[in-house]
Amino acid sequence: MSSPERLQDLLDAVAEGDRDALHRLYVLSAPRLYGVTLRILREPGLAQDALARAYARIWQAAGSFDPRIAELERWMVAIARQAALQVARGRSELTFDQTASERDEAAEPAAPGTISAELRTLLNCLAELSGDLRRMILLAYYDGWSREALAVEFDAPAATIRTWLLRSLEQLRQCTPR
Amino acid sequence: MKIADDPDLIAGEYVLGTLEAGERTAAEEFAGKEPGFAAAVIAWEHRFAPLNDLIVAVEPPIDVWPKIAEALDHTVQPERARQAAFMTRVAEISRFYGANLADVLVQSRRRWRAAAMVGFAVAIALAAVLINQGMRPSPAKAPPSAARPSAERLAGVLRYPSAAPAFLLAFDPGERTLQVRPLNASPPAGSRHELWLIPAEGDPVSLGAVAGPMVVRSEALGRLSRDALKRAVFAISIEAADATVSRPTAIAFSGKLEID
Repeated sequence: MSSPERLQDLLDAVAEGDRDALHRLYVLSAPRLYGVTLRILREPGLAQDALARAYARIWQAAGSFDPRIAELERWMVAIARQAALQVARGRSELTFDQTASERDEAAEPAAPGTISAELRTLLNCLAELSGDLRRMILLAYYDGWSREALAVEFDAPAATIRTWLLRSLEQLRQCTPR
Repeated sequence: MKIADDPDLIAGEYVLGTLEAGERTAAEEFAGKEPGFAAAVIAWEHRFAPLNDLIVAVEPPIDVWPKIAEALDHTVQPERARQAAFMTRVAEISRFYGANLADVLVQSRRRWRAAAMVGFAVAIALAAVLINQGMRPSPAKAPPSAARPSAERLAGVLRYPSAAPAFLLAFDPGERTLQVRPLNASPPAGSRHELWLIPAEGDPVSLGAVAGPMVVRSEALGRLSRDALKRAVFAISIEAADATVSRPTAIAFSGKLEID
């Protein structure tokens, strides 16, 4: 996804109901979004279901995307994350057939060759949190861990986990520039 | 304002993904009505977005796109003008208030009431969590029970290797029942989750399908000694919804019981 102008053109066409444009947008962006949903759901069938929900949402919301307030790629990744979380929390019916046999372990996030200045800033902010709090935030963001899952892992009541998460968010809010 | 009632932090929790299902729905509805909250969500997405650089891209199988295209037949694109007006308001709020979105959210009475409603929804969901805590292996350790060592509760967590806990188990030695609670797991469409007791010696025994929190009473559980229970593996397999199976087909999650 390295040509933002072209992605924006495609999204504009999608907003007008152009399905071919959505397909071209899919070809360019799906590996990234699938990486997100597979990492959270770890089950290819479920991850593909979340991916389908994400593109249905992109199709629906294309007209409301506003490049003044968000970046297109981030917007699409955010949609994919929320679609995966929705599937993970088992909120609604699943639609696709899946086979449980093809189970690929989602890869750990790998350090890229170069780290952007923005990422460096955020990592510095995360580094100011204590080890457990930082791990909690990363497990939630990358792996979609629920409060309850974190409660088990960190051996604390879910309400306590929530308080820790809120404090971490408060600290990150002060640390990160908007 | 307590941090648990700060709508901007609730927007952060929404983006992070740690709201419960009911709270998520409430937050999404609120974001659809309240441009200030929608702007707060976008601000949090923006804050966390650099982490996306570290996500490894994975090519989806080729048969995924045709299914997506087919689903579009049933997906209506809403009217653009209405959406655009809302997003313009979001953009204005984002630009004007910058980092002080929490203030925007609590400034007007109307907004404050709406924000309080999210707090209310969160409170309701939290109450549900607290009620369910009864099911959870208690993090506060039970008082020493030297007098009755055999009555110690056993608890366990079933998970996919290196993944989040998926099911919680708690064995009640008095009742000889096993409480089962799914956390974050739903079976693929057309299939079910089946719970298995796999003793150290002997064949796997099905303890039934798990569709939600449940209490299992089984002869197989009653027969095993405490030590045998601790050596046994508990597993969740994925089975076709209508299949009758005598052995687990594909084990998705597994774990053992330990002293709680």
